[in-house]
Parts: sequence; structure tokens; C-alpha cells
Amino acid sequence: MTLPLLLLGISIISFMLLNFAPGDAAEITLMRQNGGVAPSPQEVVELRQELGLNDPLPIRYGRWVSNAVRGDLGESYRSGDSIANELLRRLPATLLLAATALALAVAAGIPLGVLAAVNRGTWLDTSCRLLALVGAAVPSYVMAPVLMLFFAVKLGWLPAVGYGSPKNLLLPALALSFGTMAQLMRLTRASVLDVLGQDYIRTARAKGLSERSVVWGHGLKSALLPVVTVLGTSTGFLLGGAVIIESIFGWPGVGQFVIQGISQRDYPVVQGFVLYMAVAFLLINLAVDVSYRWLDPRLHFGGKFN
Amino acid sequence: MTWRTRFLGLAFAILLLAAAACGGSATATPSGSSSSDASSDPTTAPPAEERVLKVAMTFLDEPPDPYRAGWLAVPTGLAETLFKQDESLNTVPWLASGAVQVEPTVWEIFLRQGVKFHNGALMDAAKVKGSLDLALLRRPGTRLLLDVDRVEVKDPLTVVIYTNSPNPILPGLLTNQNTSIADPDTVPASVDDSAEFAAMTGPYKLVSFTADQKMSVVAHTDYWQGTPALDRVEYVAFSQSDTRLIALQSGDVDISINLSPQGAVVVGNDSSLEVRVAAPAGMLFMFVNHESPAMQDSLVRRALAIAVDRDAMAAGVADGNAIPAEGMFPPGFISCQNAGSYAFDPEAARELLAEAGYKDEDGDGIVEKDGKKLELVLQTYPEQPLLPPMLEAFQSMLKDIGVAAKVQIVEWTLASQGGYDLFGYSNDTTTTGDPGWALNRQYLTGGDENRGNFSNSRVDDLIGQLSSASDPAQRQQIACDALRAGQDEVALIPVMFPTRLFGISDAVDWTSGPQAARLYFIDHLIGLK
Repeated sequence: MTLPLLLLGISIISFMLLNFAPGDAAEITLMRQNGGVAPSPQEVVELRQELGLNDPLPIRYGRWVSNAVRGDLGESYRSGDSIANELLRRLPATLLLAATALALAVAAGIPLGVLAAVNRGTWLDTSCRLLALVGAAVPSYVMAPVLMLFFAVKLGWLPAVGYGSPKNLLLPALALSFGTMAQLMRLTRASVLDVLGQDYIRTARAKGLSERSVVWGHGLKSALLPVVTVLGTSTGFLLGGAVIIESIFGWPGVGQFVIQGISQRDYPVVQGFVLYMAVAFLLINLAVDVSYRWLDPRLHFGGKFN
Repeated sequence: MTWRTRFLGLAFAILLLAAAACGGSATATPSGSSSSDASSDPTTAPPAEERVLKVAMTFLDEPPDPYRAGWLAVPTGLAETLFKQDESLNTVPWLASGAVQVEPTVWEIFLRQGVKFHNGALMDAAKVKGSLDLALLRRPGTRLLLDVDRVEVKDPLTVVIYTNSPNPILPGLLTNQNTSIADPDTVPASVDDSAEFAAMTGPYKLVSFTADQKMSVVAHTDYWQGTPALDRVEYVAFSQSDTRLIALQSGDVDISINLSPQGAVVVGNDSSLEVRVAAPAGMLFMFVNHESPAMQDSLVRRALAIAVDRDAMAAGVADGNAIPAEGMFPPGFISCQNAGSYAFDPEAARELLAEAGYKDEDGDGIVEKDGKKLELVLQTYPEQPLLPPMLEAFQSMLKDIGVAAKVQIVEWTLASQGGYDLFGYSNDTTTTGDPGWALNRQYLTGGDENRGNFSNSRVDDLIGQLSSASDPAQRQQIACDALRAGQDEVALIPVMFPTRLFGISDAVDWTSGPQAARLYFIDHLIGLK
């Protein structure tokens, strides 16, 4: 019951904000169709009528909701294409990018965090912390051109742009994953340090287990719970962050579609995207909750611990 | 199952998702595409013998429909119009061979012989009539622009166009990109269906289009001006100018359009790349809000107009990639350009303000009148990247003459809604090749682009005379008079004519371009060395 209410609330807020933003969707759409030449007032009036933009806001929202619950997110003002189809068509590219970025962030962030914790105070720890600092401080839209210039222009190892091969995927995924990787690294380091000081770790060591087994076998398991929580929210942010990265790399995902929807005041496109992001965030959070039980059998829903 | 197995399972699931999505590249092709391409990777090397040009565009967000998206179909060499603009931005025949205005509301258009559509069919009067009828039917804007009553076939190579009112510039209007000619028999019957795969007449024909991603065209070997120099052109879309620049630097594309002035400097410093500059076709200027209290006094408006250091704007804001503008039209377009002459003179500007009653009574550097400081609101929009820095530079120039100003970055459509004193704006003033078109839109009371609500009876009268004058010399004279009258009243404040910048690799052989008119880009001559 909470889920539909949340989605309803999000859709109302986004619909209101979009419609209160300055700018006339009809005029912007026509300007584009005219090749940059402003349309005549009569053209604008006709298109506003055609798009239903003259109707009161509640009527327009009601119309949108009644269609959305049937899976119809409307049509793009610019192209006339179905928003649901356009989002679905572009979603694989966005998911590919976000999933690869997530995999890179997990594959690098968690092991480096453990290594930094185990080697606390050494050069390795300092290097990892420095990397984490850079990752946290440099936004992905700055990292992206830096990576492009270095790996594509300077070294010529990877294509700067394009879509369809693993080589094309690497740079955008790296740029997108960097911040999340840094966050996971810092969190894993702190969490592992915390766990390594606990009694059961001392007991494991006293039993004569190897340090590798103690850290990777016993310590990391407990340390991962907070990491998984962050991983959930990070996944949502990766999907959102992909919008900017896609725009920079010309990646044909949802992002390019939405950025142009925003600049062209293509309200149905933006509204559809907001709904998609809201559903994604809610589902990811649900998945994170479920994964707690999966990762730690002591946890039971209902707040009861064994 | 241990927790490690579970964790590995989770990681595997993520990678599986990635792999599944990777396989989804084929599904990323829109249903509208007629064919899938050999490779979806613009960086994939073509067969050695094939001459392929790769071009980074700004947008590929709608298919190149000749009637609705001529802005894409014409520059990419797919579609052509009956008339076009030449290097001097004058209207010249293209698919037409000439035109005669036989009556104030009747034009006879003579067609070129031997023009073949992409499907091999010959262009004749019946096809052109059918195409023009479809252009009028499929886009209301075209109907409004042309104001055509009907099109008739006179003989196999002549169409007669009847307009609803006297129209001396119809050939100029037929340079509009959405009046492109296509074989009407190949256009989808439903107006809701896009017509990008209709047979057009340009040197290249469409093979595939994937929205926001890429477009592929191949040579039209029966092209009426000769065989195109390339076998194929691949277009990719990058909305960010930095990405277009990097794609050029990395060799992923051969041409990048719309470089930023800063990007042009980078390209200029690379020995394997070259900057090509297109002559300006439009201007950056400021709308004067003629309903704002501060702008009611023509002395104040003139003071502001001569407070603009246009040389500094062109050299500083545009990094030298602009020409100072004292009039509405770029050099060479009209015989009396810069008729009003707003030469930079801050001292004279201060005197004009004093004459208007503005003095700095309290010594804070800002002039006042009746105890009220002269503080202006300058608005502009960010989509034209030169506009915000242009207004910031003007803000400091205004301070120099004792006028305070605040700069606001807003949505461009707000230029029609008041709330400002001056609004930085960008406009093509040379479309149609006739000065009457821009004067009509920007100076006429109630004109489509008269966003500052300028109104002057003498200017209106002169623009009215233009609608009935057909002799070119007479039209130039009336246009000059109207231009002068508008500038005397400071209808708007011109600042500069920006040039358009292209970055090309040294492999590109482009002796035919770039052309001044924004609409023309790829022709049959552009090739590879």
C-alpha cells in the first residue's frame, strides 16, 4: 500500500514542479521544428491546443495518472513516440552502464577497503584513502572528460565515444563508478576496522586460524552489512548519475532522452523518467531489505533476532 | 550455502545483468529504423575501399523527415528545396531553375530537368506539386509560412503557386527546410507516420536512423549534380560540445560541428586538425523591453546602445570568432548595413544619460533621476553559450557609464513576457535571403520575433510597403529606410555576428564549405583525401 502512495506523491510533486517551471513547451517544440526560427503566435496557440496544454493542471494530471496506471506514459511532444516504448528501448543501455559501473565499484571498492583496513597506517592504506578522497571530491562529469582525454586522446587505447562493444563501455562505466567505488572503499575500511577489534575475531585468531581466514572469512562477513545498505542507495544514484554520463559520452540510454526532454520542456518524457526512477529506487531499497535476510540469517523480518 | 557463495552469487547476478544488457544493443534500435546497420559502433573500421566520413552532430533526436525535420534532412545531404541561399545569403534556384511572379499572388516556378529521386523516379511538376501539397498538409507551420492557396501543374516542368496575399518573396520562403521535395508516392499515407524514408533528391540517401545515437546515409549515385565523393556518411550525436571536440581529437569522428570558441583554440593547436569558420548568418543582440519604464526614453536607449564595446565583445567573449554588429544584418547582406552606427563611445553615452536627466547625485557611481537609481535587469538564456558572458561583459560596460545592472539567466521564451529591461538573444536574420523577412518579424508592431514590443508607425508603414514591392532595388531601398528608422529608435541593440565553427581532421577534403547559411552542410563535393 505504501508503494503506490509514494509513487502517487512523487508524481504529483514532479508534475507540479514541471508545470510551474518557466518556459512554453509548445513554443520550444516549434522553435526546434523550425530549425531555430521562432514560431508565429498562431502556431504556438494551435500546438498548445493540440497538446492539451491549455487545460487546467488537475485535469492534465488526472489524465496523465489514468493513462499511467494502464502503462501508457503518453507521447513525446517532440517526436510523438510513446514514452513507455522509448524508455524501454533505451533502458538496456542504461542498465548495462549502471550494472557495469556497479560491478566495477564493488570489484575494486570492497577489496581495496579490506586491504586498507588490514594494512592500516601503511603506504597502501594512505594510497587507498587518497584514492577515496579523490573519488569523493571529483564529480563524474569532471572525471569523464579527464578519462576521455587520457585514455582516448593521449594514449589512444580506448575509443572516446561510441556504443556496442566492451571497449566503448569501459570509459563511461569507469567515470560513473569512481565515486561509488570510493564510497564503498571508505565504508568497507571503516567497517572492517570496527569488526577486527571485536571479541569473536580475537577468538578466531586464538583458535589458530590464518590471518587471511580471519579477515576474509570471518571479519568481512559482518562488515558487509552496512556496505550492502550503501550499495542499495548507490545503485539508485548510479542509475541517476548515468543520465549525465550518457550525455557526455553520447551513450544511447535513458539519459540522453531525458536531458533533451528537460531542455525541450517535453513534460511527458520528464514525468515518465521521474516515475521510472522512483520505481527503481523503491525496488532497489526493497531488494536491499530482502538481502539483509539473505546475507545474515540471524535477521528476521518483524524485528526479531535469533 | 555459505555467505561467500551468496555474495559471489550476487556479484554473478550483477555481471549476468550486464551481459544481458550488453546483448541488448540490437534491441536499442528503434522500431522506426528500416534496417539495422552492420555495426552499431561508430568507431568500427569500414572496409578499406569504402570512403566513409564520420560526423559528430549536436542532435539526432528525430528522424530526418523532409517535411517536419528538414533541419536535419537538408544539412545531411538527403533533401533539397526548390531554392537555396548562396554564399552571400541571396536566394538562388536549386531544384528550381527559376521563378517569375506573374501576378502579385501568382508565381510560376520552373523546374530543373533531369533531377532523379533516390528511388530513380524523375522529378517533374506533378511530383513537386504533390510534395508541396504534402508539406502544407503535414506541418501547420509550413502552411502559415507560405500562406499558399493552391499549387497547380502548368506543364511537366512548371508549377504555379497561388498565394492568399501578395507575396514578393515566395522563392525566399521556399528555401525553408520543411519545403523539401520528396517523391509523394513514397511518403506514408498517414500524416502520423514519419517520412524519413521517402525518396528525396539529395546526394545521399538514408540507410538507418537510431534516435539520439546515429544515422547512416549512402551515396545517391544518380545525383543530378554528379556522383557524391563519399560512399557513406555516418552521423553520431553528442549534445555536449566538449564531447564533440574529444571525439575529433581521438579520431572517432572526422568532423565536429558547432565547436565552442575555446574548443576551436584547442583544435587550432593540433597539427592534424583544422578549424573551419562559416560566415555569420545571424546575430547576438539584446531585445529592448519597450514597455519597461527605464526604456521609454530614447536617449537612454541610445546611451545603452553606444555603451556596448562591440570589438571587445567579439575579441573577448567570442575569442575572435565573431564580427561586431551595429545593424541587424551581417556584412554583405544588405547595401545599407550598419546604417544606424552605434559606435562605442562611453563619454557620449554619459552625456546622453545626463541629457535624459540622469545624474550621480550621491557619488556612488550610479546615476539617478528623481531620486531613483538607473538599475537595469538583463536577462538571457544559456543554450547559446556566448550570451551569458556577453551580458556579464555588458554589465561591466554599463557600470562604466554609471548604470547598475543585474544579470539573470532564464528560459528563452521569457523574452516575450517582459520582466526585464534588456534580453540577450540570438537570431538568424538572413533566412529567406530577403531583409523584409527579419524586419517583418522583429521591427513590425506585433511581429513574431518582436519580443520587446517595439512599435513605431513609420517603421510599420515602411515594412507595409515592402509587402507590395517586387523590384529588388526598390525592396533594398525600403528595407534600408525601415532599418534606419528602427535603429534611430533603438528598436533593439545589436552586439555581434558569431561565426560557426567546425573542427575537421586533415583527412577531410572540404573545398566547398562551410557555407554561410546554417542549413547547408554535406554536399556531393565533400570527400576524403
